[in-house]
Amino acid sequence: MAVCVAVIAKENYPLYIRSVPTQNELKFHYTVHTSLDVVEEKVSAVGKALADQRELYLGLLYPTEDYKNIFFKIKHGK
Amino acid sequence: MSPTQWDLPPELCCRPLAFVALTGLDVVYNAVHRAIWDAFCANRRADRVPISFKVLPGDHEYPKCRTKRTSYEWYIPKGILKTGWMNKHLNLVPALVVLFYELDWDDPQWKEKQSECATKVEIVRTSLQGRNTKVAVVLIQKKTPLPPGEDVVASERASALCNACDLSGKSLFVLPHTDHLVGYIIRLENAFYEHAQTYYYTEIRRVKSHKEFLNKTTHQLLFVRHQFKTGFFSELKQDTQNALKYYRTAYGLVHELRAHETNMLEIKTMAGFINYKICRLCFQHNTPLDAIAQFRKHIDLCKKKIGSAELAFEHTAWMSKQFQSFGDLFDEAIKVGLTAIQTQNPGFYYQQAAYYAQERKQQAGQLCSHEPNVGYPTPDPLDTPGAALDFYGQRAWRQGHQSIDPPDPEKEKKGILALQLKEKDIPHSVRVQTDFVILILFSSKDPVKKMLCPSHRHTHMVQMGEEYYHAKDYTKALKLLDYVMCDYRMERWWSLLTSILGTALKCSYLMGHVKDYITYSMELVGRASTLHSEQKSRIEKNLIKVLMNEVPDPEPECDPLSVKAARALWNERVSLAGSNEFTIEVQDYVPFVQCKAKFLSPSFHVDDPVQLNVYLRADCPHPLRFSKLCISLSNQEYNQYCVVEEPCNSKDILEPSIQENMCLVPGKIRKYSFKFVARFEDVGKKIEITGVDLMLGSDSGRCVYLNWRGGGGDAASSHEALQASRSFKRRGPASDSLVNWDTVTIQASTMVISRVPKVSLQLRHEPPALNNEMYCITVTIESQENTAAKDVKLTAGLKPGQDANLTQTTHVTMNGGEMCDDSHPALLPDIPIGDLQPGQKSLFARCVTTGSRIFLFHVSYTMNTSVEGKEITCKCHKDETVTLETVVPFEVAVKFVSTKFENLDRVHVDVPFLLMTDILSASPWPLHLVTSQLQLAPTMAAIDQPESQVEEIVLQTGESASECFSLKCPPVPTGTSSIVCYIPLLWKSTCAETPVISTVVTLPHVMVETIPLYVHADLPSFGRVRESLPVRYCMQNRTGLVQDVEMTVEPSDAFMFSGLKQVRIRILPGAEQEMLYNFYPLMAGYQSLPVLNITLMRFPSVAPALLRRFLPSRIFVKPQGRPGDASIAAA
Repeated sequence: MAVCVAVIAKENYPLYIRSVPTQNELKFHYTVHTSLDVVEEKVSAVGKALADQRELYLGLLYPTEDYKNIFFKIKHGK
Repeated sequence: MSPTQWDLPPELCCRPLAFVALTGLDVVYNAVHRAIWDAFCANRRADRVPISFKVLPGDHEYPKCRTKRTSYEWYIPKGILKTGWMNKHLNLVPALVVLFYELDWDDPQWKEKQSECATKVEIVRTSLQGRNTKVAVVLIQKKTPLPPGEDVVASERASALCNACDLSGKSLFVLPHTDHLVGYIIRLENAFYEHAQTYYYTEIRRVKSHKEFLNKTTHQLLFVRHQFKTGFFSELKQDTQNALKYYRTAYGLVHELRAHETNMLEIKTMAGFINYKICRLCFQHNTPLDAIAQFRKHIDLCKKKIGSAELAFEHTAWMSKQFQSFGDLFDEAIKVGLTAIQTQNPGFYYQQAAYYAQERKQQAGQLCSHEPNVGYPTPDPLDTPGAALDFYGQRAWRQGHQSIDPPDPEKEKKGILALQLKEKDIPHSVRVQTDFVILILFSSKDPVKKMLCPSHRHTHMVQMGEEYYHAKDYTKALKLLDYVMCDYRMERWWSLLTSILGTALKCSYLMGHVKDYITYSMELVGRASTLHSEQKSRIEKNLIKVLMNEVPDPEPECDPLSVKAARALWNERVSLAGSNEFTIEVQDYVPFVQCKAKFLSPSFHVDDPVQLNVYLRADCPHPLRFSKLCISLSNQEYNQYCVVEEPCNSKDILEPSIQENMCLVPGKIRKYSFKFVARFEDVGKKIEITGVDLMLGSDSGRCVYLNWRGGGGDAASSHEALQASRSFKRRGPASDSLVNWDTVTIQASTMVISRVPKVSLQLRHEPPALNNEMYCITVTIESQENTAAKDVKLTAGLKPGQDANLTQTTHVTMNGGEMCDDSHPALLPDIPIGDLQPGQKSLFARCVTTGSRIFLFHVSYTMNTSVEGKEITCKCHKDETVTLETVVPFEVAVKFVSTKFENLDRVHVDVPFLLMTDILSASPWPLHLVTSQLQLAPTMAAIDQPESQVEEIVLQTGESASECFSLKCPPVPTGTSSIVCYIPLLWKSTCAETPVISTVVTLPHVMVETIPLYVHADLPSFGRVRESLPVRYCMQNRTGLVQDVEMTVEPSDAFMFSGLKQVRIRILPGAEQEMLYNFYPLMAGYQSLPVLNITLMRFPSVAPALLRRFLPSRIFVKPQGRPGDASIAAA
């Protein structure tokens, strides 16, 4: 079950963040923030290839103890 | 219960080494033995075999071997693994016992010594009764042994000794005590190592052999135990591949055990041990992914195995330890060369360890909050008869108990209570517990730093900060939080920022730090905070209290004891006089008041007042009153004009009336306009807003200055402005009162520029200018000022900064009556004109030019004017430039011709020739030639007095005037030379009253030649048919030599002639020879004269044709007139 959904701007600040109402909403925020380094690493590692293939799924980022973080890279046209 | 209860035992964490006991060595008193021992244990590098040696006395008692069990049928195991087992096999039960004995082959007392040695071996064997431990004998000898087979005595005695001691030949060694001790020792220990491996192999076989006796119902624990033991023996045997295999099987088996509350801890403990072994070996085999997979499997299997709910903190403590030890293993592997990636690094595991440590503390807080009257149970249920438990992971009060239900519920309760109270005792000694957590966090900080993973590090720092907060070390907490705060603020993670700010506010409250308290509150009620409005409202009320120098209400969820202390601190602060003024640099925060200052224009004329607006907006939930707003400018003299001040009393702060000027209403924008007159000295300078200060509170209470550097804005505003500009849609013209905050841009600087001049500068002239002409440009300065323009100055001339040559070739003067020369400058600066009354005009400027260029006319003046009722003196200036094309007025063409108008490329000495000049006007204006004057070089002479033939001539465009002068070259010393003449021309342009200009035209050079013989003819200007025509040819020898001249006259149809037809004469130097002929014309009209050929014998190069040029070739012959024909006679 998805417990937290966040949309992150390319400058790494949250545009939207919602989680299931639990006591510890903040923990999800920290988790999302902590994963950003990993996102950055993934994007920079395969950035070019991803852009070419329009492959936006970044995959399972890393497993924490209890949750799995899965990221998509989203392009928006300008 | 010490915090180290959860630590893994050292015998588990070490690398198992084969254990070999050395006996018979006296390392204290015997130097030889000491040297042998040192060679064994010193300098054990990685290339030596992995053995741990110990020196034991010969009669050492080894642990007794229990009698071998013949049947397992009635045996019920009491636990999985005995606590002493690992240590026993690492340090107590040797794989090999080596007896050292000093004995040479040729020892005189051989027999006695042999039997003594056999006795010693026997003693060792006895104490190892029942064990498979090998025994070996090393003879320490003084002599170097002979090669094997050569010493017959040695081999005989060796076999005899083996028999006596009941040893195989492979277990007897000789150690000659010579120079190469270390070499012998290494060979020895290799042999020991083989024996040890054999021992461990038999041990593995022995343990495995038990398997057939076991059954799955009662001996489940033994399956695990035996697998673990074979794994451990394999490790001792240095067979890590098989060890890993056995441990993996053991791990599978431990999870097959029937788990219930009473044995959960034992299962988890053993699972943790085996997991540790597996992970350790995986890292050792350089298969880190296997290690990670195993660890994750382990955590997945174990994390739900909480066991007794009343002792949940034990589970979290255990989990924390699991993560920490895995992190240690990972970190260890990295240190020896493993490369981590961001998703998999020790820091991550340390972080989890820290998380569980915090969890443990929380659970302990919940589970262990007993009433104070609950005492520790007696007798102590945790007391064990021995020093330690028999089996790993069991309860002290029911050791060896393996059924599902506890044997004695009462004892169980007491045991749990004892554990809880012990856990509670840990937080009582707060430092121990928290430092433990912080220690983990600190150790976790390091690998993360190495990984350069900022957001992970931030999360760690937040955790640490919060730990410090809980540990009541608020200073350290604030230091950490402050650091992270900046980053979260920059990254715009408002939810995280708010959460940290909340903690920081609590810290500052509890410490009574007024300034920090204000700073954090200010941000918490501002727009970056994600708090609910009620919370914001509470904080703002507290903030107002602080501003009124009162004690704020405590923050919620603070420790009541600390709050009490904090209140005292605050009361102290309140009563303290002074130090009640704070300045907070808000630029780097997101304060609850936003400020933007802007000059209304990027530049202001000095005679216009400088205007600037300051916009303020409050984001807090309640209206706020401030007492002063002041702007600091780069020139501080203006600061006095940019202040709004209205001292307020306490009542105003509490209940600000929203109508008031000094009140900021949430969400509404307040605009404050300032105006001042710039100083005359600041013309051309920049005025900058260096800061904006907003004073909250009052002088009497406590006042806080919010200071914005520059023109306002804070940590979030630049991004907001960017967002606004992206999403900005064209809106209707906003009325002044409804300013859109996002569209207000900060304009922090402006320029003071000089007043717009009200003068006109007109230039009147008629281009193009003629080269060398005194060109007149009339400048008309007309003042449209209301008052007199004073101190008017004109700078006129060539605009500076053009080609340097132009400066040399341009001259400017004010005096039209005189010619300019090189002494005149190209630019006339600051020509004083005096005061110009309104409308008055005058001034002429004249310039002389050669070339084409830009002229600058710059008028400056001062005048008095009043701005906003203030008299100021303004300096104004106006520039006008003009580009002037200059053309050549006329062109002069010159040619040399002979007296026969033939073009000459050279002239001859003493032979007359003509100089012809053509003056072609190129001027667009009629050109008035005043006169011309031929000036000859000394090498040239005029034949008659040369007079100007172009005096007072006016040439229209394209017309030309010509002159002709007859000249002759006097003899020159050298044979050939060039001569130069000048014609100075005086002229003026007819269009303007300008002086006469003299132009010098330099004439081209001409070659002068001397000729050896000059010839000329004297003859009448015409002849008449059939009338005698006397002709005299004169030949002049112009050389210093006697010349032979041959001359012939060719016959002609038109003439008959008398005289010498062919003659050869000799002419003396400088002499002249005349030849007389009478020609008799036969035909009328232009007739060619008979051709005279002169050949110079001495100068054959001089062609007759050259000389012929000096002679007339034709003559006009008149027809014979009738007698009395007067007309012909007259002609």
